[in-house]
Amino acid sequence: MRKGMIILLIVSIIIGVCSFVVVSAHISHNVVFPTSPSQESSSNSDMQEFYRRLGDFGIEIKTTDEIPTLTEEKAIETAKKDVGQQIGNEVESITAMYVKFTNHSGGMDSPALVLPGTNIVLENISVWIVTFHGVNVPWQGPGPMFNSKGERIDVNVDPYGEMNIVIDANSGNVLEGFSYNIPRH
Amino acid sequence: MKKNSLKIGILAILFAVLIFTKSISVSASAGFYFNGGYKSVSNKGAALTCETQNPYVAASTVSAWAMTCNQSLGQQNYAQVGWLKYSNWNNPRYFYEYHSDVTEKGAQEWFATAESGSHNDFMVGSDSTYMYFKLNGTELGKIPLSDLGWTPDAVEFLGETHDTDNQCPGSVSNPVTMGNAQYKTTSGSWVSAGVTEYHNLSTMANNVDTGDTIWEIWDTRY
Repeated sequence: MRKGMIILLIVSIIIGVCSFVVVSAHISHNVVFPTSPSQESSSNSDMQEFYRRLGDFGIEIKTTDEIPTLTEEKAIETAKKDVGQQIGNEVESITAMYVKFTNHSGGMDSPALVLPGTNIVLENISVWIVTFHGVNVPWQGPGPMFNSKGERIDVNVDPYGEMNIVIDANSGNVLEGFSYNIPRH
Repeated sequence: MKKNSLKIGILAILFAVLIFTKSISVSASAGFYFNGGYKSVSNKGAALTCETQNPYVAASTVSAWAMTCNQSLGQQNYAQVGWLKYSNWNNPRYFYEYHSDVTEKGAQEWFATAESGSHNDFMVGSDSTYMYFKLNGTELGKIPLSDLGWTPDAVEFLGETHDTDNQCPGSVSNPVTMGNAQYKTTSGSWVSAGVTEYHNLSTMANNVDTGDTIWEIWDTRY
């Protein structure tokens, strides 16, 4: 009888602990940032996709010799805070570049965009662009999709790619963000 | 001693059941939940006047948007514009997003803060060469149609959450208004898009009647 009680007790504790681990895994979703962010220069091979995709957003960047008010470390810290738990997996690397930033949202020949909700013209603004490489970018994804029988099909998948946070290098404010997928073949 | 073991055993079982039940409920909470209307129609774009609000976001995101998409391929082929809020943001932000499983290309861009309580015109549509994304008539972005490679056969106007603990946009006393729902015909004119109602959470509610072009959505818990 006593032996049975002890076995019951041990089994119950094991089930409880296992369940707790499962719950913790679901609740946490902690983003694992690299312990030593690689803040490489723009010549790094990691940045090839970044430069290739900038035009898709009508974004133009230029180098600058000005000294930013916001330090690189602070910019990365701000970007991490803004990204928070959005990124669903480990980050392969983080880079930051200090540039003059213009957003020609209507195409490279169009005037610069006025940041919605503000009077800030996104033209030649000193910014830090902090890039999170190798993440599952959390997009909204398609709405409900239905097959030929009218049944709901679920096709949502967060794509693998890069997420960029644009931070005003003087005010420290986050201005915008852009992300893109990188097909894995 | 036996009595104490029995008590501990019962307490441990109760604890295990409680945690196990909780784990099941947590597992079930993540997903893709929508509230609003859609219309299956060949089109070249979608437009909606939508109220921006600042919902409670427990995890992942909450958003509201207009979308043109292809459903017949059963893939992730869509282009949308609206507002969204991630769980770690204090305020919603305007965004546009597109994806093509045909060309394997997709992107998202969002902009600073959006004004809660404001009503804005969101439009995603195509001309002969580009798909464009507009907020109150201003282009937020555009992409060559060749980067998409799919033909739209539906428009959708929905609030969206990715977790059951999130607030669907809107509350009982202050629902989110969605109006002036339109789609761009294949001949290039914008016309009213009378929608079919859709929602897939019991806590989501709306007053959509079939054929409506204006309605409200809300979360019954708020």
